Amino acid sequence: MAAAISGFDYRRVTVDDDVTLSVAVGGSGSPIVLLHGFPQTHLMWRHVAADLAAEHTVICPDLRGYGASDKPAARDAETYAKRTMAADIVTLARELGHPRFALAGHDRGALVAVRAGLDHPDAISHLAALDVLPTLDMWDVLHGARAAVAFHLYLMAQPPGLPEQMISASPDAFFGHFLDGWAGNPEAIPAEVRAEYLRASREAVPSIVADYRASAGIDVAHDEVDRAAGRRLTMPVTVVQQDWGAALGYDAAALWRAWAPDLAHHTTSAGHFMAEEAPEEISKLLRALVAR
Amino acid sequence: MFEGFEEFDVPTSGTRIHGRRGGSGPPVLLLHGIPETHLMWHRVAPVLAEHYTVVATDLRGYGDSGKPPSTPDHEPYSMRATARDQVEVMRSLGYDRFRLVGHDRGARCAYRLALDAPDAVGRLAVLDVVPTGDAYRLAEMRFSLGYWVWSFLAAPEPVPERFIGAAPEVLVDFMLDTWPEVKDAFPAEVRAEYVRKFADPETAHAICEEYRAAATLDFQRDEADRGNRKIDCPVLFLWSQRGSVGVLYDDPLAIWREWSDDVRGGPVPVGHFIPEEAPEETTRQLLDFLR
Repeated sequence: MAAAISGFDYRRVTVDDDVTLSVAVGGSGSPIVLLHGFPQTHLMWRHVAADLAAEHTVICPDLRGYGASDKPAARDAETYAKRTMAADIVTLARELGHPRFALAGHDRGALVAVRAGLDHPDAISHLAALDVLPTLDMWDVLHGARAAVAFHLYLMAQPPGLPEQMISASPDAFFGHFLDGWAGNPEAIPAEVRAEYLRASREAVPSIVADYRASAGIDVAHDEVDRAAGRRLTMPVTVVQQDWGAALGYDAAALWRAWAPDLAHHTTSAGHFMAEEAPEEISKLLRALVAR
Repeated sequence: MFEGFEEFDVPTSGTRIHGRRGGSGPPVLLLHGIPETHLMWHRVAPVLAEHYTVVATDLRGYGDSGKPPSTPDHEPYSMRATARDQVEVMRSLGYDRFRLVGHDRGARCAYRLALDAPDAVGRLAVLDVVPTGDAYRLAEMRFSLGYWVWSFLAAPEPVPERFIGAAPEVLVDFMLDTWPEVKDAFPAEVRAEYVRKFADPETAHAICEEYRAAATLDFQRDEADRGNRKIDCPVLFLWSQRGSVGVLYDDPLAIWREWSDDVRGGPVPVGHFIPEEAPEETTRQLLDFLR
């Protein structure tokens, strides 16, 4: 089945009032949780998860609002705050018997992972963030004439109604644009997997928009408080990124180091979907991280 | 609407421009913005026509004007190319020098025209914009959140084109519903015409190309001209007091004063569509300034 990681066990775990996450669990050994990004599901980890399962308990949830997990209606900004989504993950791991675990996130999942690392430093032993900038730095870099490459951030930040309406009018064109345009190697996402991402995203428009809207509002506020307080990620951190910095004129490693003093920063020649395009490289980097 | 005005279609070196002309006296050219057409001047033009020969056109890509094919660098939809049409139209109509009034995108076309063809412009009125170069140079997160339409329409082809094609009224309604402050600024037939024109796939593509050109060529050209070229005619600048210009910039006039030694103007207590929301105030200010 295209929608499942083979050999993994699927279950549902309640993490919050009325919020249940779908999670794939496989392997045995020290726990590592892998968080997917946009416009995807846990399926993006299929290669890396199968590989790491040889020596780890690998836990791949769909984030709240995505895939087969619950998609609560946004009551307020908190519903899809990264703080809330991070708390889901800490609760999920604890419910599965892992009060402390390594955590790797890609794209939106990386923003959730960073928030988990800041809010729950005792629960997160190691942290990896794939192909994002920290929220504050991202807004700082991608505005004005550069905003066109990140138009979706600005569209989905708009008040409820308009972005949901526009995306719902042609969801496959919207989500497909990112799946196709961000891939360094399009063959890394086979047709049936692409179809599954499109199906999952089509059914999650309001919650995906709410997740992004939070990143323009409440997540910024939370990050500003942490930055002002000098709060940092205290665990070993690995960041893997495409080499955007050279094109956009900023030093991504320096931006990350301000948040993560114990940082290993890597640039990859793979495209955005690096866990699918270069799974061996990503697995190797994650193994090196948990060995630190 | 536009009684006594004649419609025209004039070929230019790059395309064909549609518009209307009426009244008598010295020539004034009126240029519209997004998501509109020259119809936006329907309340202002007849009064100006009592004193001036009034010409109101559709910019290339908009309304009933031509929509020439674009190129990878978006040059055909740069404001330089868009302004060249308007100089040529006025010359064809017999006017080598004219007064110029622009709103929104039309104001961007107008100041570019004044910079590129200084001999053609005697007076320049710009409504509710600061130059593209200043807008981008001063942009931060808050600007780009407010001006999300800029990043959306400048997004890679064919994403915004497809979005507009799938539901054109969603974006037009957003602009026409959230940018004004005055209720009923648009008569039903005017609004329907805006929606009808915007929904044309060729227009939608042309408008996207225009925003792509703004983020690249127009921005670069403004920055190249900064400190080197000035608008050498008097400038009137009106802006919506509670709109984005009024909110984003502490001293909006100071931004234009970098571009001209003779700048006057001030805020108007209406929304973005100043000529349609406050036609009497707009007309009064224009008659006062254009004299």
